[in-house]
Amino acid sequence: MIEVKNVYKKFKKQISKKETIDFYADSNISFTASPGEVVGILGPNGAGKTTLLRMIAGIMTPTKGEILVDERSHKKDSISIKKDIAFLTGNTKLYKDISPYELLKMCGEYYGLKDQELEKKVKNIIKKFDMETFAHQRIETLSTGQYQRTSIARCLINDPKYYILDEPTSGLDIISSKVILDCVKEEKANNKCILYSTHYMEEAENICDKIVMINKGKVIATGSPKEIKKNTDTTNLRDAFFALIGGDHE
Amino acid sequence: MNKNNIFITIKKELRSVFRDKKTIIMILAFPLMIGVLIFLYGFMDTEMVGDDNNKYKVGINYTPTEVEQVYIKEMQLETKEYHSDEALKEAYDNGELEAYILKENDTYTIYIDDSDMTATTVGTLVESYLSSYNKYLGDLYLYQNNIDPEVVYDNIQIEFKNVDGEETSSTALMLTMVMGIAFSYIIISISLATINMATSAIATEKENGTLETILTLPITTNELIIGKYLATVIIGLCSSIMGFIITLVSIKIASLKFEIYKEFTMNFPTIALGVLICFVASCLIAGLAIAATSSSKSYKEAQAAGQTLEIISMIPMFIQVLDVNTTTYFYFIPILSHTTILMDLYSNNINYMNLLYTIISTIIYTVIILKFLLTKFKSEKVLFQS
Repeated sequence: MIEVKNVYKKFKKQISKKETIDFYADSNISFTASPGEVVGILGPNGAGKTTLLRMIAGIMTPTKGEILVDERSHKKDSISIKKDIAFLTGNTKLYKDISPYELLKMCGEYYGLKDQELEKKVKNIIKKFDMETFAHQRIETLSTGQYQRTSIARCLINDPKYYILDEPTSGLDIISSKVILDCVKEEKANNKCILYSTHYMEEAENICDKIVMINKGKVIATGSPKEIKKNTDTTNLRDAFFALIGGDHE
Repeated sequence: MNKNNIFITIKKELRSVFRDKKTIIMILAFPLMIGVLIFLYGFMDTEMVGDDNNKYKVGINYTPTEVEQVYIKEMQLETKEYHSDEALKEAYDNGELEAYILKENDTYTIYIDDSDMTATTVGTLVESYLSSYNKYLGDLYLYQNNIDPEVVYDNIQIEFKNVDGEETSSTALMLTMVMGIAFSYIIISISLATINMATSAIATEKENGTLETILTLPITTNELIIGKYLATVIIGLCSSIMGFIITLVSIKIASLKFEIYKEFTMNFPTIALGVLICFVASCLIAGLAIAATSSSKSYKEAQAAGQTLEIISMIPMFIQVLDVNTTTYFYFIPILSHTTILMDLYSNNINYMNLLYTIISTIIYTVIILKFLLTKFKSEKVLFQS
């Protein structure tokens, strides 16, 4: 289980050449995510979603508060936590000068997979994502769809317990988005926990069991899509969001 | 620290570099310039000094005495006698001669085309032959009259002495300068190769967003930076070893053709020490290259930041050209000391204490830079500032 407890993240924001001010990207964020659950992190651009997910993935450190993954914290067990997590963002960039096969092997090696086990896993993933035709091509030559499939395949190499997907469908066409949404559904069925950040409210409504709605770094609502709609007396999450923020959307 | 993660990172970086044509050219082409420089100087020296097989042809209208023939030979001249002035002029006009001399009584007139560089050189050589012969005739006259010519001519003595006590010819000085430039090129090649590598390993990864991707994998920042640093050292070492080999091979081949490199003797221990210097220089410059480019957000910014290091690495070349005398303090100044030690090794003038100072000071500087890098890359600002 992922437990986010009263997490704050402060940055220094430069307002002039000499002057900086403290700026909180996230303030007092708390929620939990359990196995078999898809938790949607919803909010507009700049709400603090990416910073929050980076902290959960262990590549940023909270200024205050605590994040536990199966009762382990990044302070002490960062490497073992990272082994259980796959992190994918909508603009995840891959190394252009290597092939998907080489990328999968490299990631597998970082996860400590060895020789035959690694080779077997790479071959299975290539087959699963129908990547045989381009597995040995350089990544820079791949189409957007092939690139996205490679990105997702990379996440599966270590068979993670937790997925952190940061706006994974952002900028993708309907077919490429479907590959990701199908993968989310399949991994949920495999009892995996998925944190899914998006600003597409309709998408979240379809796949998420639980929603954490964020605006300006603060949680404004938590619950199932149904509960949030009921509490705000709206028919969809988009309207619910506007109802929750009231006039605070400048 | 997980050694496997460091090894995977090195493998990843090197694969990326060896697939990039620009870097390969940087590693190979730049050291090749050292070979070009060595051969170029060999040709220049031959041109200046002259060659036994390539004598300047001069036409004359008189039969030289035996003494004159000695001076003619000394000056690399080959004279051909003509029985008429017309035949001589005709041979010159046909391009068979570089100059000609007409003698009438005791007057020798040298004819040259002063717009032609070679002809001017020949004119100087002919003048030297005639001056020497004139002095001989003067000496002979004095001897015949029982006067010591030294009493007449040599009232004062003029000598050139090197401050180190050894006499140095202008050719030797020029050779020292050329070899200084060649060894400086080796150090410059390290800085060019490592800056290119550091740029792609850090700034390009930030710019492309792949640094974030790799940080989500089970690897610590320290392992990642050490992996990238070691890959940069390997690239610097490859470039310098390539430069060192090209320098030695070029001198060896050039010594077969050019007289100036004949005395070149670098044995196995000095070559091994040269490789050691290349290694320590690569360790230090790789760290400096990463430090210089670490704050850059893009490839362009990193290249601009690396230029400072490139300029610093060129300083030893100017020092060699200006023939600045080195002191013990030089051996504590990295980059400068590396070139100086390589020159000491080449000239078989090794001071082992200076070698030790260079190695120890380089190790200390490298450790400081590594500590600085590991601290710097703990900062999220550095990692996510793209």
